[in-house]
Amino acid sequence: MIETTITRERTITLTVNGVSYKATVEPRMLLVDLIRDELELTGTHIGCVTGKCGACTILLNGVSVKSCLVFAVQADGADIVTIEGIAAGGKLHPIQEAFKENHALQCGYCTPGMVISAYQLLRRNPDPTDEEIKKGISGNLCRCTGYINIVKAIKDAAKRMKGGK
Amino acid sequence: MAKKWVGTDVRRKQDARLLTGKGTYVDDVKLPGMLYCTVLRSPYPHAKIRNVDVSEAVKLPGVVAAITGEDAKEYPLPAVIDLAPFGQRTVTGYAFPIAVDKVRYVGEPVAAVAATDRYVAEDALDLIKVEYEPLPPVVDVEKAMEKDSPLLYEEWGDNIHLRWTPTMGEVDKAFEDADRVIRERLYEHRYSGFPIEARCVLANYNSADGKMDVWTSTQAPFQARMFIARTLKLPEQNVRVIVPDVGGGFGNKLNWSADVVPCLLSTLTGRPVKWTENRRESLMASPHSRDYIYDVQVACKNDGTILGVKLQMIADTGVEGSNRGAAVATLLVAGGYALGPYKINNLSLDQIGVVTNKSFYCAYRGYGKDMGNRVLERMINIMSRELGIPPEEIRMKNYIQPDEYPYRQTTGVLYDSGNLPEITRRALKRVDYENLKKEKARLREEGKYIGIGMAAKVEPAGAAVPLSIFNGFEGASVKITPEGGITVATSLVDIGQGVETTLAQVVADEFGVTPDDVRVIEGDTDMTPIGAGPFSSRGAVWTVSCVVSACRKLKAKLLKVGANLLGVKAEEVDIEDGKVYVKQSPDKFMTFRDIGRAAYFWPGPYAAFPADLLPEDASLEVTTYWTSPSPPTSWVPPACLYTTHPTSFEVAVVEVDPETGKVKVNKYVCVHDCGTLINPMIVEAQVHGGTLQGIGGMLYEELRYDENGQLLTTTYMDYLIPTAMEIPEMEVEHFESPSPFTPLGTKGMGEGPAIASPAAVVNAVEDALGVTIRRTPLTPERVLELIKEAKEKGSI
Amino acid sequence: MRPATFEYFTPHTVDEALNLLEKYGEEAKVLAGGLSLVPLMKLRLAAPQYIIDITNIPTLSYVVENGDGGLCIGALTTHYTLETSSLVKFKCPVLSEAASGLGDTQVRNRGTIGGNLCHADPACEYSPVVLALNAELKAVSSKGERTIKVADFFLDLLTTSLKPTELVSEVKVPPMLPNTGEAYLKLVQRSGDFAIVAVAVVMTLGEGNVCKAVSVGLGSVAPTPIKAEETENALLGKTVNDKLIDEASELATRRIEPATDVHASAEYRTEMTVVITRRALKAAFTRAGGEK
Repeated sequence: MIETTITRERTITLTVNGVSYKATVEPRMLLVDLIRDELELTGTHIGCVTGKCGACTILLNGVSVKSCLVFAVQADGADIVTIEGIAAGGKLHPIQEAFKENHALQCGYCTPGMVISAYQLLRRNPDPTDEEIKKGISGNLCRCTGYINIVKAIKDAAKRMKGGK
Repeated sequence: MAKKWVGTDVRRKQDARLLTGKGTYVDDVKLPGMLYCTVLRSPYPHAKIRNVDVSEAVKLPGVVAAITGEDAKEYPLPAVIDLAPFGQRTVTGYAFPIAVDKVRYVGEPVAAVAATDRYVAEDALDLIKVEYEPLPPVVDVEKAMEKDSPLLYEEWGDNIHLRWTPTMGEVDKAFEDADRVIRERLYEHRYSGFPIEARCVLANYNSADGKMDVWTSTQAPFQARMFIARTLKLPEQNVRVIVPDVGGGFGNKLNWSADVVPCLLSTLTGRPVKWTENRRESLMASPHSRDYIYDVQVACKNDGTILGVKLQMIADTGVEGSNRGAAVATLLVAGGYALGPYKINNLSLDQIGVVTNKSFYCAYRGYGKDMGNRVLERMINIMSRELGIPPEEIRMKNYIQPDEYPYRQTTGVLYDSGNLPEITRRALKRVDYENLKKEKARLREEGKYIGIGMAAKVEPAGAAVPLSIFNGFEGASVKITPEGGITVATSLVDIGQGVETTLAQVVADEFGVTPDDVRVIEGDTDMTPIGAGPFSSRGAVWTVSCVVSACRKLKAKLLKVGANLLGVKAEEVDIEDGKVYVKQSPDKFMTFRDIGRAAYFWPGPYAAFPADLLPEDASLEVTTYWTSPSPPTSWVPPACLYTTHPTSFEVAVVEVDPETGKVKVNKYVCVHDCGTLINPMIVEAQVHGGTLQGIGGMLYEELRYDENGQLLTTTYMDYLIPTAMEIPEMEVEHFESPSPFTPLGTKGMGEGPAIASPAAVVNAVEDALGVTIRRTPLTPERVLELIKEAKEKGSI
Repeated sequence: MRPATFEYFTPHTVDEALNLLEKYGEEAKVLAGGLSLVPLMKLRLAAPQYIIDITNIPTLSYVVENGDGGLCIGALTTHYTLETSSLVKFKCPVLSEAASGLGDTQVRNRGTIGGNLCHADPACEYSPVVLALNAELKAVSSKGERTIKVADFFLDLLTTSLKPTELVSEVKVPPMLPNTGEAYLKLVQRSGDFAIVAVAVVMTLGEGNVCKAVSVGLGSVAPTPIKAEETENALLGKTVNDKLIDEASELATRRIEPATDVHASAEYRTEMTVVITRRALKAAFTRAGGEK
């Protein structure tokens, strides 16, 4: 029988995209691995080791964090939103609509983290300037788009969310 | 039929799933019983392996298998490119997926583990004991060429991988006739693509039926299949390569020596094995690029006419990599395209590939096209200062003129079409060049240093390289299903460039339907015809041409079947809006669904198909293949390796902080010409992305090794990829010179934006400071040295 | 890459945390935002046996005005709070300025001032700032508490005078005097990166632009933050103008011991110390109400 070595596993409960989960994890398990491997929400991605690329960005208790730098046990009792929780009832969120309309993604790998960062930015600052948008997404690396359409999309999303177009 | 979809900004089909986290990348795939693979890598750049002891690792609960070079030595890697006719040396036959006797770069695999969970798989690596006997490393390319240098491959007697020295035209005469010869020795550093999704492979060997399924994030599924089958001695027809969503490639995913390791573990354990590359491994051991010395002599007249070029290029190709990546052939491309879009009849090349103790060389948005472009784009900038002639005028003077295309360049390559003078004019207009120069002068008075840098390019697109995995062939299947749906199957994997949408646009126009009616099937060697995959900007050349050909052949059949069902002759019908209709009375028609149903089931083939399609061609499908019509002059590369030649003219405007040396690219203008555009929105975004990669390469990114061969930049904290804060204001203008060699006139352009942008940026900094830049990257520290030189010289 | 195993504790009060530190001391690492520690653990460059996660202690995150008009900042206060708090912007703008350029949004949401200071990376954002502010740190242990002056806190690369059984609970910033200008400037390749050179200045002006008080902290130019005392002395009591600032900046290199790393050489850092000090002094001078 194969057993995995563990050190004092903990049972945690957390809410992800409105759904309550209970999981028993080693303390060293990264939150991103819990989300991807245990909860099988694979929309959140891993792109680096040292927390620089931002592909793993999620909302933890309402603020955007890099889930590869958080241990799952630290999310005990937390309320998490991942990319899968952004669209409501099968309809794309205005940020997602704006990304599609403005061609703000190519390979899509950085996109979930980027959308979460855009979401965080617009929640705090509903009418950002281009400079504020760039600063707001400076923690999300993209290799495909050159960011130009992403900035456009977030500007557009801000308008959409304010009720305009 | 009128073009309705090609040329329009159709929004992408894949976006809804990618935006909602419903994409599937290889690491998202989970199979029952799956194991996780980790790889132990050499900490030494050059060492003999005395012993590898995995006995403690195997005892760790959760570890199912651990392998070393002893296991891997049964499986030498085959060559993916073999340019023996060029004197390329290889080590095929004794390069292995895991090092056996010797390690030759920091990061080379020395053991691999398969365990039930990712964490245990890493714990196991800490328990593996390796005895190394370090050897002196070969790190500096120029020292590697010296007589007493340590050798990577003793049997070679030196570290020369390839040396190619053709001469074309009358070079000596050109140099005699010249008013002056301008010479420089320039150094470009090592960097590469590093897409945000690193490599990932899930291998599943079913020992009961001998079938191997491999999910891999790759740009070339059929070559992956060949490589894995050959290496592991599996019947190729039993290997299936599946490519789901890919998180970027840029040429860095055209290698499978790493894939072999989880595949081997899967055959040994009989279970699925997944290897997910981490970023540290990616920086150390995935394909590297650029890293050339180019020693250029340009013979010219005082009026700027270029008479001839003598070029020596020395590429640091890392370890011999012809069984891993495309390696040293980069030099042939670089040399073959060193004359750019200029009319120059005399060229001598001395292309030298040198092996060193670094990761292997492969493609990164360029594969030699990048370094080829640097040669004259940088020298013209330098010449401009010496001759006192503005750089755009030197270019204008030497350009191939639009009416001279198709143009057989001195090197033998055939440029299809273009209009450099016009796109140059447009770019300079867009950047308001005359006023910008005045602004530059005005700002100088205030102690602010603006620089304007330009670069032109001709980009060879659509490779067809003999003796390699980048060969020239492409297949496509277009089908109409019994319910009237349309599918197109292709080897062209979507790596972010939007194939799922753009091919649908092409097919939609051929059949008068909408892109939503067309499903693109890609990424599965069991399901598509053979083809070479996306690289070398070939999608718009090879795949589109092949798909168009298939569509037109199917359309001919469809007209025949439709006419037959409508009771008229084939000449009397046409296709529009998903219907076959009688031209003279359009209210008599059959939809594709009507035809599909009738053809296959109700009443069935005997009634539906006309006599000339029975008995052997009764289907609504066509599979066809396309090879480039651009005729080869010989088998000798670089002649006609590339079918089409997009061009561009680009201008970078930078500001240099004279006290710190920090460079900011404020504005970037690109007027580009990739022939017929399928989706302008997608093309424009490719220009954005590629340009920022060029900027990143010149200002921020470097794979730096110390003198002991240790890689210093092993995380994204040290390898600096530009963030959104580093972007310039960008303007992109499209210009279309259709290619005469493709049915729609498309040319491809994926690599293009990363090819000339580095030269434009360096030229801009040179322009700001008035001194020659000989080394990159242009870190603030390096630029500060240039500023001091400029001050001494009096140019600032 | 994934970390090695460890035992994990999540105290809910400072006392619980201190008892754990008493017990495990040397073999334990305190975890706050995790932005410095977790990457090291993932690279397996650090493998502490015990992790004491203090992020569930609610009493360590606060920004309050002190009796003397200065600020008391709880060690778990995030960079985001420091960036956006109007109290911090008003009472200690240099701290807010430093926070706003630190990393990126996600880092600022989670990283803490306590973590940043205690990790003591030579390039850490706040060390030159708290040095220039003449701030004090409150260190608590199960045996009691003590005040550590910032000047005595940083000992060496990644080394502080904090004992293994102690926790930094608060940063105390003295009150900002009238006619004071503060500035934080860092030289970076990409926005948000670790500084190549960083300078924090607090300058108070008197009548006729005479420098009544000035404090200059340098970061990333030595294993610990450096107080540019020679620069300060060149300015103190004199009429501040461009020429004086230039001269004073030249003296900023006296105590530095810059390293050469993949981002910059020691020589470049030395040259840039002068440039960035000059720029920071000018900015602080302007903000203090100085006329050029």
